[in-house]
Amino acid sequence: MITRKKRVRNKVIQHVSLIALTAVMLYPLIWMLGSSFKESSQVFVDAHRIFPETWNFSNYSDGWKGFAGITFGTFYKNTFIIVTISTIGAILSSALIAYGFARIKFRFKKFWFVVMMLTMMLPFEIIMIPQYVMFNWFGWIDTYLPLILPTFFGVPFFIFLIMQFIRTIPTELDQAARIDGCNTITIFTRIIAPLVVPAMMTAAIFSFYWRWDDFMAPLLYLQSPDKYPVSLALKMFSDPEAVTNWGAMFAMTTLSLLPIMIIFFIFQRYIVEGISTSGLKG
Amino acid sequence: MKKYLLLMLSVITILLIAACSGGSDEEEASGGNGGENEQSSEETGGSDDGGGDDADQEQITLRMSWWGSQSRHDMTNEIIALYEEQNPHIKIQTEFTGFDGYFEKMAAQAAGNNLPDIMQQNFGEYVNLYASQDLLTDLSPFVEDGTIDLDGVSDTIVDAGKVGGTLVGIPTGTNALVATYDSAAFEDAGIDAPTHDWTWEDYERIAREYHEETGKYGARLNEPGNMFEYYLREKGYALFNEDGTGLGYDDDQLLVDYLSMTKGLIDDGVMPGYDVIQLIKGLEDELIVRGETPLDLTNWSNQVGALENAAGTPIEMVVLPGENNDRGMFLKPSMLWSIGKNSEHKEEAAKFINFFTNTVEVFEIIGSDRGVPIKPEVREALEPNLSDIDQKVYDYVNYVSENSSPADTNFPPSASEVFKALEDTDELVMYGELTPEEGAEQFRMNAERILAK
Amino acid sequence: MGLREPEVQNQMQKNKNLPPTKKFNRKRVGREFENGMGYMFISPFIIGTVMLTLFPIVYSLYLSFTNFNLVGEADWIGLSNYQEMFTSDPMFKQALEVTFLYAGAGVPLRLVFALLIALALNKVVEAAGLYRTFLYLPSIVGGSVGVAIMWRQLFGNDGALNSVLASMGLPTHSWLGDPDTAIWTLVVLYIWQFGSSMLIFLAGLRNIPKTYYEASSVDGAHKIQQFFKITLPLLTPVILFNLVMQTIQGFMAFTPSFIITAGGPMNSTLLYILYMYRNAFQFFDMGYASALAWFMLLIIAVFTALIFKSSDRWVHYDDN
Repeated sequence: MITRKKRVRNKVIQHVSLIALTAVMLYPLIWMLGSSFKESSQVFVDAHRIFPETWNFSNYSDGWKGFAGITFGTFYKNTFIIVTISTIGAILSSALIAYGFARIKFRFKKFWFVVMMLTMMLPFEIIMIPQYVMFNWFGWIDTYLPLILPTFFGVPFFIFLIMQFIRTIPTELDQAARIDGCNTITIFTRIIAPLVVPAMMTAAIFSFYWRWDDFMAPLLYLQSPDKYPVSLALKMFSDPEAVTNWGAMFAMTTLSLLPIMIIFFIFQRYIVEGISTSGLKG
Repeated sequence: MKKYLLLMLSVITILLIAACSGGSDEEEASGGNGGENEQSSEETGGSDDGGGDDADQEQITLRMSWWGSQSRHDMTNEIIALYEEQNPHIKIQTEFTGFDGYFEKMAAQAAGNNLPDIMQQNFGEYVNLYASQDLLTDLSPFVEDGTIDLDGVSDTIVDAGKVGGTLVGIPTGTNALVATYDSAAFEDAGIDAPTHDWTWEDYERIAREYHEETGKYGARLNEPGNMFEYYLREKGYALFNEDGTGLGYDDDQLLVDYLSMTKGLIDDGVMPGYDVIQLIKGLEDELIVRGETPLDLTNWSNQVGALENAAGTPIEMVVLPGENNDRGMFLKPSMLWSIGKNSEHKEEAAKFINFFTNTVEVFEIIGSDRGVPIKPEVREALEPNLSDIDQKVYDYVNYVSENSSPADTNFPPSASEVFKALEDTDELVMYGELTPEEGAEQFRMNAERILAK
Repeated sequence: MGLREPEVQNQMQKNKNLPPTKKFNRKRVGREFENGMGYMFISPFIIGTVMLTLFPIVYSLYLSFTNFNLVGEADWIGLSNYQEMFTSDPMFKQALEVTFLYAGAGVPLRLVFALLIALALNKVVEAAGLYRTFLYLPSIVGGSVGVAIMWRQLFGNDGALNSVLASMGLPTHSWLGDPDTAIWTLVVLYIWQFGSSMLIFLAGLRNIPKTYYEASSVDGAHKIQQFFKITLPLLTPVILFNLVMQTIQGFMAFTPSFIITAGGPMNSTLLYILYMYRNAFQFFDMGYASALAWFMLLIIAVFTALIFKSSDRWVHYDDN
């Protein structure tokens, strides 16, 4: 009886504190949601109030209209193309490379690993000009190639991430599989890959979000506004020297968070479901 | 386990060696660019003998870039549609973005020899940088042969588009610095509002009186970039010397006086310090909009409309203070239209700029979004249908154009670093870390170091 | 490693009892170099590096020895940029100090916070997906203008934090206006966006086989014992990952100070990469900016190398 009572009390405490934490964490986002219903000129005058006095839905229709006849429908379509293809590319190639680094012994492995780490240590702003010149030679400007193709050669962050998860899998498993007739390739496809699904899903969530949010690369490599993704379009509401349509900007920013939320909500389940398979290995 | 460190170092060394032999990379780069250039001319279907007489028959695609916000994108596209309708052989490919990243993209395009045919440039160090590297077309032949009609445009405006004597940009419109004030607030406090002939003493007095009367701030903090440059001009100096290799004033007392004035007002609570200013989230959040001060000297004439809109009360405009404010005030091109040196269709690009500069319908669509039109005929034609606020801005810019001297265009490429050093100094003095004297000395030292680079 | 050790030892003992040929066989497949196979798996990475990343990286290194002004010709000036950094540029030192403070405080705090929340969430059964989603949300607003405005709203003189303090009778403070506290508002922002680290920890926690816990509770181990003997050791590969990546990202952060404080007040929030960015695109000194970037790469590389070096002592892998 006592333990049951205690358990219920613990649960309540647990949830109350989590809800409180969530509320604090979300306060700024709720403020933005509220602002997206305020009139543009009132956004700051009314800043202390979370929700507007009068609800103004026109920000959403104004924002959706986009720019010069190109609506956010187009921007969303473009983003989905870029994000979907590059995420698939990034995850598949990174998993392969990670397996190579984590499980196979080969000459100069450390060298290549160090090279991989080093490529993450230079800011994009520094390499973007030579990169532009290079993609310009290839004739890739104003296409999605500079945004999509590089991900098919692996993304160092994901390679390292998946590597670390592979390395938690006991090698006894590989050895057993080898005795059962698996080779290096089939060990990857049958044993390792299924076991690192949680890591791959984590990577997919990140990849989706990063590509979604990426501003500088599309800005550089795309020229035609009808090819722009959402991230680029969101920055086109504001002009620091003149008038900014704040309301529309907040409305579209809020809207742009929705797909990421939905994707996250769907994919995080696969992270959780990973247990059933990884439970096997104990 | 020094292995990791060693490995890191060896990789860096290898890259270093590769880089040292990399001198040739650059040549390769420019060689490759040439190839790209040919390719792009094929894509756009341009003729090899360029523009000229047969341009009328063939289809020509011009690339055009600008930055801006939603309304500017919409309006500019409307104008382009109008032009394409009148000139069926021209197709204009637009490349518009927000302000964020616009110049990063332009730098990359310059490196790739891929600049647009027509581009919106920013007055000051930006256009100077591109002009100094010979990336922009000299527009004076087009002005001389009448392709771009600038008849009647005042010389001070045309000159603002020149860098080192070469005309590299046609102003899209003009703006001027302005002292904005909330007339109702002054009336309520029983204080006379400023007039065009006010002095620095009047400025201090008005701000102090208002503060004493109401307890609110008497004026917004001045940020030094524009304000000190104006202050120097008003006293007969310039921020940079003629060839942009040093400061344009020798007596540090000028900066000491300027800093002391601001510091005194902050110390007495008449003006807010940086801690308040830093929190302003945008034009619509300015102190004058929120009614926390009636006087703000930091705006440009094109911003007054937005200020008044957000404030919901009339905002009036006068020129900045000083006995010689006609010497200090200047008209600034809000932006410039430039043509890339790599353009295959310079003449057609010039024709479009001419259209944008001289067509009344253009400004009926876009209003004063890119500043007050530079052509007197256009201004006159628009005058009858102006909104109240636009009328105020037109009147103000008209007044300034008659009571001002040409803008300084001799900004060296490192000007923004000098401006940053000035801001840093100003902040240090206003936070009380340095005295005005120390500040003035430190600024000179930093500025000279930067300009000597 | 608590429970695992006996298991592993068992395994090893078994190995000893195996017939020699089979043992040899196992050693062969486990240890031998498989160059062809290895290079086949990592070939996408090598091709991508050689074709796409090597040129820009090497070129940026070359630029660091030039006076490249962003759009013109680049002239070789030897080590001048590096010399300037260490001898005549006061901002360089300032930016370094700010960045070390920011990364030094932000990275450990974010990691601890992310780990604690992940542990808490790992226990929750009801509405776990919702909590996860909401707590991850702050990380996805990223560098949007919205964040900049919200942060100024939160820490402003009339902002939410001061309102709370005032209502509790505590003194208020100009958080963003005071050079001593402004950087801490950015550290708070860095911690606030702990979602991605949390997610990785969660995935790591989920990867720990439940059977270990079941076995240990049969043995009567306490929860705290379980944490230190099972959870923490098995999580170390993921902790290493987060530590390395957060160190890299912490040193390279710049959007927050770019959009919220613009480096001020009095350059107290001038993060290194922001200073580099300014040199590149506002002061038109790409050569100097490249030198700054390469110096930062060196610093990050040293830190990363030290972390990897120490990892031999505290990270437990199952693969050797």
